[in-house]
Amino acid sequence: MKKLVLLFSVLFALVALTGCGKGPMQLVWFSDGVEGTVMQGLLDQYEEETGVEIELVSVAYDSYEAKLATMISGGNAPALARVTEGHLTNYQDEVISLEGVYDTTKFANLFFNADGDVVSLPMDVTANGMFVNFDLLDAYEVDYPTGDDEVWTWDTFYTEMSKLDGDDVAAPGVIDHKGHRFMPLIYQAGVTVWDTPYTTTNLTSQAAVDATQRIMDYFEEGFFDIDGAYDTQNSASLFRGGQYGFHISGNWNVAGYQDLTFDWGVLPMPKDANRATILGGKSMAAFEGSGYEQEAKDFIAWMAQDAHHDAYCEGVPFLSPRYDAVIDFGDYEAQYSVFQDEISATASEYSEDWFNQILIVGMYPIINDWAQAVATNPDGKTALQLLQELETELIAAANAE
Amino acid sequence: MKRKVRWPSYLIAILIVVFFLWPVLYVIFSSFKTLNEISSPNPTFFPDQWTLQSYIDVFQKANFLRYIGNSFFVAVSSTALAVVINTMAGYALSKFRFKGDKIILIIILSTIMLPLEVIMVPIYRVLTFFGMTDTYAALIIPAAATPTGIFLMRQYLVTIPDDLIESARIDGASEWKIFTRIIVPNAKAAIATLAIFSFMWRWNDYIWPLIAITDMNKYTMQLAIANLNGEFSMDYNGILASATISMVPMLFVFLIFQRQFVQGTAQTGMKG
Amino acid sequence: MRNQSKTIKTESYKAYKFKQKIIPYLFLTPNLLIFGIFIILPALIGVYYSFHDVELLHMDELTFVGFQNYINLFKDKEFTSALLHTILLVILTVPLIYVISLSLALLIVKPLRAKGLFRASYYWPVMISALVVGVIWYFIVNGSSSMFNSFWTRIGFAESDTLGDPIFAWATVIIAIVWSRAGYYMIIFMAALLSIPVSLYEAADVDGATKWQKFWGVTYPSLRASRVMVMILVVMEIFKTYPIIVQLTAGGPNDSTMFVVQKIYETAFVDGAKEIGYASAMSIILLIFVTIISAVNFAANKGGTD
Repeated sequence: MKKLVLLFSVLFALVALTGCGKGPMQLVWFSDGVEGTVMQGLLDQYEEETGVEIELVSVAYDSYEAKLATMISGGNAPALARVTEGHLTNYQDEVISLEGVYDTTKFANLFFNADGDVVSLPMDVTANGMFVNFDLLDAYEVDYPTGDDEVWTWDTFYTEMSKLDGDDVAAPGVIDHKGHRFMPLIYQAGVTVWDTPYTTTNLTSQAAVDATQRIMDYFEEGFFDIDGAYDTQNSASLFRGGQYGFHISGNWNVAGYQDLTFDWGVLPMPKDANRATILGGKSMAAFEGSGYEQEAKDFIAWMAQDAHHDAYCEGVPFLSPRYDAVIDFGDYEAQYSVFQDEISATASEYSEDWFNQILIVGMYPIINDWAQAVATNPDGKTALQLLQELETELIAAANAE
Repeated sequence: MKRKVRWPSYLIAILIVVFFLWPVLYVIFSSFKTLNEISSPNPTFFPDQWTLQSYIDVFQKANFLRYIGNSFFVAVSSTALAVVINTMAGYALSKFRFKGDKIILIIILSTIMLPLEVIMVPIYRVLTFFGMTDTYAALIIPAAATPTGIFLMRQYLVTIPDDLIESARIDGASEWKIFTRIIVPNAKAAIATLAIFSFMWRWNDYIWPLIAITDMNKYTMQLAIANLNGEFSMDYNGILASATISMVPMLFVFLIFQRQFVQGTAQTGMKG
Repeated sequence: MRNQSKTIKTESYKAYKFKQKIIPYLFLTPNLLIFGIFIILPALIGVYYSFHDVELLHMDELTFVGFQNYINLFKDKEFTSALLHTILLVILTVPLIYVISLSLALLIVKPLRAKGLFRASYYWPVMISALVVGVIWYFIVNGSSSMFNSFWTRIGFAESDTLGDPIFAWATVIIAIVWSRAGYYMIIFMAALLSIPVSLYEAADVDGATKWQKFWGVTYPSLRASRVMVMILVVMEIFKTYPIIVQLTAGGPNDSTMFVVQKIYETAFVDGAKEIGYASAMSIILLIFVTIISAVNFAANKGGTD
């Protein structure tokens, strides 16, 4: 019987031992490429300079939302986390105001809470753009713009890319399975979602219907490969295979495509009424209840300094949200300049309109569902019907509570 | 009574082997391909050009040795605990009549039906309450009391003759002594089975460690594999290499302990 | 026996009796502690949540809503379709596993040479984690440059949408499940087959029964207990399908392979407000389903073995 008692005590000791003290200061992170490694380097530097240790916790993106939510709910909120717009929306009550922590006038892509306080430090921006397989385009004599100011229209784009038709072509192109890849095509038609936020929209205008119809036709015909967009959800790996002419995606692929064996590059996306891309980007936020609130602010202030911030963007490399960033993109210079050009060619009304979609809980998923419905159209609806549904849902979501 | 087995049986058996083995072999061989070959539109079964690059990358990019070590530590500790407490529980449920014995068994068995995901939030709350989040203990302790483990032990221990226990009692042996000197030696086969199964379950756990562990130093293999998925991209080479690393040891475990696997599976399934 | 005066320790019968009463509980305690704290208690908390409006990020703000969550569930198309998918998966997968594992067992009990090797091959997938099983089949079928599509187009078919086609995605999920689980149930059947008394077959031989007659007359009836057992275990298991989906289809395309457990997981941890109460109600409904089906099976079992 004594041994039994002993076993119990060991069991409880194990439980008790593990439960004391507050945990280490953590930065929760997700990576597509080397950004985790670059951030780890900065954390090491920070520890060297200040003696404050911050632990980097990498989580798979698919599990990220669940992980973050569980931690916060269990009272183990991380000090810091890498967040998307969606996370900032979902955790708006949990993130700390960063007002006065760093100079916000130096940054683009800022997020504010209901009181108008900034709640995150923009770390990187991404832009939508178009990758092309020059080898394939040349083989099929596709005529593409080469000059700096030259931008093709969707009609010429379609005509030219349709030349891609042969055994070594899976489809003319692929587009990522995300709402924010589809929305630029609406903005390019000169349409902003909201006429007056959040009561009336422009979604049922002829321009919006035409733009949507075009996407639907492209998928229907296989001009956009449905396989890449929705089914495999891995359009980048399809493009890598060399059987697609273009890949409408984000600038992050520049890094991933470096080892491609064919000649590739970035071209400006076609225009309709005007050019437009969508700015996105990850930022860093600090959380309430971690026990390290002040330390988190300190780190963000450090991170916002020119040298440190640029070191991060250059290390990956990322397009920088810092206006005066001086970054050597190295091998990516040629491609990244096209993205920067897309950004500067985009009127601010579109960026603001896009923020209006993603800052309200549940809006982005609605747009994502719409994009999926446009691509797959399981119920055989018309473009107008899909847009009307989108309009109704967006208004309802914006006015809920 | 030996019957002769004719060749069609062999042919069928071999064809089925092909069905069961080729997916695993394809993944294993592919883990030795180059990145470009993996995304090639015309995949081949064997690599054109053998390379260990995926493995080198995986070990360089992430601390895989550590994750393998963690998985091993967690699986072994949890198994040790599971063997002790489940054998004890199995003994109580098989060799004693007491108030509530039937109900306890029924409750335990009914939780076989309970998917973990369903009670994950409350479990996490409980973990937090005990300060166990982000500890190895969270991976080791809760998983040790598996209903299947208790059931397996109980089913086996029932077959140990009561006479053995009775005569020891008459000789004045303490109950603990009876347990350690009579029950445990006689239940070796079942214990080995439970140990192997428990090791396999813990080695393969994914959802539970995902929720319980935040500290990357405590990550297990399965978490590390899933971690190779980005927001938009998937590190195919890394995933194939790490999947191979995670499943090859299990093959050896099986080849060595085949008898116990067979017995264990048979016992859990023999009787309702 | 017990009253023989051989007892060395001087111990009153009453004390002995008392000890015997306590001892089983002591042996059970470590297990029940862990079990109670980490399984029973959470399950009860789950039941409690299911009657409340409570969100993951605001766990302190509980509002009692009675059966509202349950009522909403049945109006929730996403949930009912996930439930229907799950039931359909059970209907499609259970007979397959049942027939295949029984056939494998019949094959493997023959005195084949290298039997161990065959058995090991069939069993290996059982030991691979669900996550990796998903990875394996995803890698084989997914996309236009997959092994599957390369083969498919080579034998003359048009390129398949693979996991983008709901029917294809379903087929892949079913194959992956059967592939990774048949070996386990094969062993259960194998053990049962080996325990059938040889005399039964000898008697059948005397009567001049054919192989076919022996199977239906001797083998199949003798397997009744393990057949029901396998049935119950497989049904329970298929109702819990999720980890294998994580890497394989992630519920797609268009939620067509979204099963109840994933729906619960996403409602609680991923989607918008993370409504724990609502997700808990889903869990309870799932449990009720599994319990009813298992009970029906058990009843059939009882009627058979006695």
